[in-house]
Amino acid sequence: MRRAVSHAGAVALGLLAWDVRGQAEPPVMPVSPAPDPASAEDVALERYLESSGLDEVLAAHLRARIERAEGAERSGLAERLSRVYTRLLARAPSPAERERLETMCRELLAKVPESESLGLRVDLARTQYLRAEEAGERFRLRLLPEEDRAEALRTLKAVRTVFERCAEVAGRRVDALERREQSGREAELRALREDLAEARRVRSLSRFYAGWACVYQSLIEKDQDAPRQALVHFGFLLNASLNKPPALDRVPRGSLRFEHVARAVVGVAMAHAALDNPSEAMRWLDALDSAEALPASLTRQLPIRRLQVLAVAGQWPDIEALTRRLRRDEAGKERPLEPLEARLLGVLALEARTVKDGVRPGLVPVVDGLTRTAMGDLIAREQIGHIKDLVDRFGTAVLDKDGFIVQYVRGLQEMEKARDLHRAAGKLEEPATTTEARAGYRAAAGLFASANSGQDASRFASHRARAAILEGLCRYSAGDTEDAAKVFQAAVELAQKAPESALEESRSQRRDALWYAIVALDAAVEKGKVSLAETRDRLAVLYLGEFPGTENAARLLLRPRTGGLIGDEQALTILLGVERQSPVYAASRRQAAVVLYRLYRASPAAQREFAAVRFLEVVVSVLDREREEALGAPGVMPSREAAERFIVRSRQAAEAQLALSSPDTARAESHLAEIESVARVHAISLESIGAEMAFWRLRIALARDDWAGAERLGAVIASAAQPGRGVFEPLARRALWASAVDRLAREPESKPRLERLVAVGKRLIESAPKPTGDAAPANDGLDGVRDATARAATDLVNAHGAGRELRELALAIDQDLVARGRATAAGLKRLAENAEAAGQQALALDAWKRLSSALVASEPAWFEARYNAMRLEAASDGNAAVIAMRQHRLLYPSFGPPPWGEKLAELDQAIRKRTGQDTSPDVAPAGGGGGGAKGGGA
Amino acid sequence: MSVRVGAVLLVLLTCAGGVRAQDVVLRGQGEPPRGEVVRVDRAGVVVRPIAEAGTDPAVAPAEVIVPLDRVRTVLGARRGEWDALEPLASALWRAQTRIDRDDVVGAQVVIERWGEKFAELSGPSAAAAARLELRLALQVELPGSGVRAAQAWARALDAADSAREGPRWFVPASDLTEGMIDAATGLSPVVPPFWLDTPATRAALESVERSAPTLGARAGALREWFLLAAKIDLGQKVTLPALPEPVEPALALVADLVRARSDDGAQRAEARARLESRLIRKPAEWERAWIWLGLGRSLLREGEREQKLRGVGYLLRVPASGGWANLAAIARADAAVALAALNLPREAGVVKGELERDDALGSALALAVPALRPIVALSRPAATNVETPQTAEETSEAQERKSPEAPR
Repeated sequence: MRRAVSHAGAVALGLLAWDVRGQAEPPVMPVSPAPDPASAEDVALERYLESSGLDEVLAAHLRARIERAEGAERSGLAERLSRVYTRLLARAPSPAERERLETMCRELLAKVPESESLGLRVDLARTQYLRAEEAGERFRLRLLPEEDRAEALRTLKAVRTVFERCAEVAGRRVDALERREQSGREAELRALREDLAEARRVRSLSRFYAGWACVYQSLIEKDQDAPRQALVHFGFLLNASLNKPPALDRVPRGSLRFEHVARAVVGVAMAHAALDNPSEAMRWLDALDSAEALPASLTRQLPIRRLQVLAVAGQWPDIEALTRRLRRDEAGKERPLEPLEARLLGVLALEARTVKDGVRPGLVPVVDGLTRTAMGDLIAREQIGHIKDLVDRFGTAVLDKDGFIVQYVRGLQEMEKARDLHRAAGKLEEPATTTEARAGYRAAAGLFASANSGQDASRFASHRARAAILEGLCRYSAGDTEDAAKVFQAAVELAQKAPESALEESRSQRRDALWYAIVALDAAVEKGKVSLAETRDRLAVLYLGEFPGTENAARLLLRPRTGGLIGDEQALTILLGVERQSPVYAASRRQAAVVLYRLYRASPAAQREFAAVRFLEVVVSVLDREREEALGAPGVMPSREAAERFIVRSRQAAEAQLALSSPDTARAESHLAEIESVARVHAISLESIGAEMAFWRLRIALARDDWAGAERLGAVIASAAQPGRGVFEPLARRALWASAVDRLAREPESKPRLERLVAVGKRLIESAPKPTGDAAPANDGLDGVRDATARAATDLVNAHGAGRELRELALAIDQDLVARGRATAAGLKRLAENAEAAGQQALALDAWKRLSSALVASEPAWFEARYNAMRLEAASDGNAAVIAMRQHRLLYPSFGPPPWGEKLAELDQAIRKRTGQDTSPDVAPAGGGGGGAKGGGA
Repeated sequence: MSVRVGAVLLVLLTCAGGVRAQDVVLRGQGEPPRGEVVRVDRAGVVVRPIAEAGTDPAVAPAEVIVPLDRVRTVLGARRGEWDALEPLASALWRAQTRIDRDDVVGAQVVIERWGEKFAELSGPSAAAAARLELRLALQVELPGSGVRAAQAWARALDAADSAREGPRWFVPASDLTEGMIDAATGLSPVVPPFWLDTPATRAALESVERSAPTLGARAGALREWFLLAAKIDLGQKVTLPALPEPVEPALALVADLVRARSDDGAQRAEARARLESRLIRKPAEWERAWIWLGLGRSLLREGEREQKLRGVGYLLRVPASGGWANLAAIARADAAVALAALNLPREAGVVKGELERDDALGSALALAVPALRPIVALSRPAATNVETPQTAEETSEAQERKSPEAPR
């Protein structure tokens, strides 16, 4: 700190040097910058860097150009560079970074002193101010070492001078520009107004920081002039008369919603407090309290400022009320003060008690109560450093040396010493191995135990469980695992007894105690105390039930010993509930993905889509993490093992994605592309999954209606060299078939779709195993494919005039179906019609006969089959036709219902005419042949 | 009608016309060279034209060599030799037609099966095979990992160089290498001597080092310097050799680009000076882009932050348009990694964001380069408007604004 502040002072002095060079003020730069003879490439690069926000690169580029430039070009470049520096300073992420930038700013100011750079000078001073301000806040909390106090004060004074000087110069510049604005030409006005706005901005900024520098100066050295000056500076921002302190009634109320105005009001209040005028200070703070829309950043700060003002006024009951308010969260639940709030309260209360007559006698209990509150909250926040520092700084005069706080603090100190010994000799996660460390831990455990058994322990009900947990941790580290487990279980009970006001805290203590008890019991079981396993598992189930959303619950599930304690769904709830920031988040997600994929694969068809969606929701983040492990990071070599895991999981993701009724094909494709990228990075051969990859791509192509692509991929899978072909080739054929059927259903008369279906169906049928020898063909599940293929082939012939081959194909397929005994009525009819068209009358006759045998007599289709069978018979064998007709007429004297009845009657006449025989049912057939009804066709 | 029957018919028809038969039947359009096939080998089919009547026998017309992929069949006495090479020629033709219709997978299948045989080709057939392999490599290899592409380019260059001797090429070398080799330098604008350190590059480099193709002087020397560039970019120690006199211009450029990123600081500075002077001479666009990338990489090797930032500036000059997408992707990858190393994560994220957004290859790079992985890609920042305090009077007139960083 000392070095930093000294450095800050030097910077401020350097900035002042600008003034002592004899330049009363920097010249007002021309409105239009000097022409810049940059090359077109330079201009393009600068535009790109500027629009991309790559200011560091732009600054380096401009610095290089300044080296080569001269005269007005050089000044113009310096001005541009100073604006870049201003932006960089505004977002410098660390003090070191700011310091580096400040050095460059100083170099620029030294190298191009003729440049104006007023904004840069203010910005540089501001960075110094911010450090000094931080020192001022540390001083308020009594955390600033004495030697740094003087440095901070010097810096504040130096930067205050810079701010005041810049405000003055900027003010003059504003005046000059305003005069030019009134007489300026239209063409210049826009640029002029931009310059004017910038000058006003610098003027206001300078006044603002000058005011605050005065406030902190007065805080550190109790100077009465600085706060008066602060009021004048803030007055400039708060609509005061020139060089006068601000008046509350002149501040436009609506402007308080602007953060800088509100902060200036806070500055005014703090200046009044420094002038020992707390009532005026409170008036300004009250004005902010009643403001309609106060910036959120100030709402939490205001009570703290009020606390400081009330302490100046000695209004302890009001501080007590304010503290109560601060210890409630937005929902009204009690919570400990933030560490620095508690520290400030402790400092204010203890300081008042240690100063003679600092507190009126009647208010001592109030102040001591505030001290206890502050100390208790520091314990709750585990701020051992602050507690120890306050005890060292103010003594234990106001604290009972055998009471809870002192014992607790001593316990913490002993524990810290034991941890140092432990750390020096081994790993802190495991019990200590040295006698000294173990003894230290046991001593600390004793102190925590005595804190909990002290007379005033009941006044610290909400902290007792914490003391017990610390005792347990000490006993665990001392190697007394069984004792530790008992203490942790006792801590669980203590947490349950905590007051209702600390409900949330006690719940977290109960959670911690329960977890530590499980860990301690597990360690004891590991040491051979197998009988404790049952208690451990009982507590683990209790933990999983009570704290399922915690990362430790996930840890329990990730351990083989306790992983199977609950069912898949409950485990998923826990695994998926782990927070992103948790160290076990990645492992939990991975385990959840494993469980979800298992559930997806086992799910029945009706639930498969839901299971796939659940899996996909989780696997995305798992893949993100695994991709990172697979591809590595700076200094970490990419992991081939992780790459192989990533590939497997991406395959699962692609599979689940394509199982959806409306798959996201782009996502599925990106999984496949990533598999290939990762494989390429590690030179992993994907040969063994070549067919599978092609299959997923085929599914993607089908989902996108890219039939040609799908066909090509089908051929790739079928090519001889594809491993995995045995599994994926039939799947690919099936997928192509299903798609062909689906596409044809949407346009049943489309010729290309019919042709596709026939082509795919034919391949599918040909791929079926052929029966060996005389064995009857097995049911291969392809009868539907055969039927649809034959139907499509027939449609192509009949509706689109396709060639003979397709009719022959349909005939062959339908005959095969007949041979398998799997022909349908439609198939038999199709067979008969195709056969007749192909001149195969006998085959056609057989098909019609088979159909009529299969159908129920009296159906129209049966009459159709009978008619056609007799028609064909009449052409080949007149006698047979006569017999058949007689049989028909015996059953249906009027031939049958229309239209087939009429056709049969016509056929009857034709048969009679052709054969010269009577077809009446009661007439015996010519040429013998037995009784009429014997050959019955029905 | 089969192809062979068709060819026979064609010959018969030609004979019927009283003209000497064509012994070579070409694939696709185009008139084959007329004459006698005198040689069929791995360079192509050599045809000796028949001299016109009355031509001075001393001035024999030059022989013509047709690359194998252009030949459908050879008739006559050399038929047997052709039949032995026909499967290879067909494979070369098939792979080319597949890549012409963007069937990368299909072309790759052919190359995987026939690649070793393609490597044994020479003359115009070797140039055709090299062009094919280069086109394929550019599609499947990542920018900065294109070792196969570089190999293919070197072979194509060597084959093109060989066109100066022997029979006249039926398809001129310039046509066979069009878009692949810059006629003026022999370098390939799409195969720059810049590499990215990825496991794929390392694996490929090892296999390339093991192979020892027979190349002519120019292609051999350039191949050597490309390998040196790869080794430097993968962090290996190398000793840079002297250039053979007289210095060939392409080699001089590549050598400067390599020396500019050598381990020797003085050598780097000298090479940078030479590269900068090349820029003044207004080189071709691709050469300028190479030089920017070379200067950028060179400056990144320097110790000072300032020089590294200037190096990033050079890298970001490489345009993503104009056919240099691969080069720009490498440059942006370098820039993003350098900015991250300079502890400028936001800036690194912006550059990575552009890398991923501009090109699919960029996204692949973002995956493949380990150093790029941890950088969180960002979109470009919106135009900023730094707000600062005004007086209350000014504020009341002002629009709703954000407030400045102010005392806590």
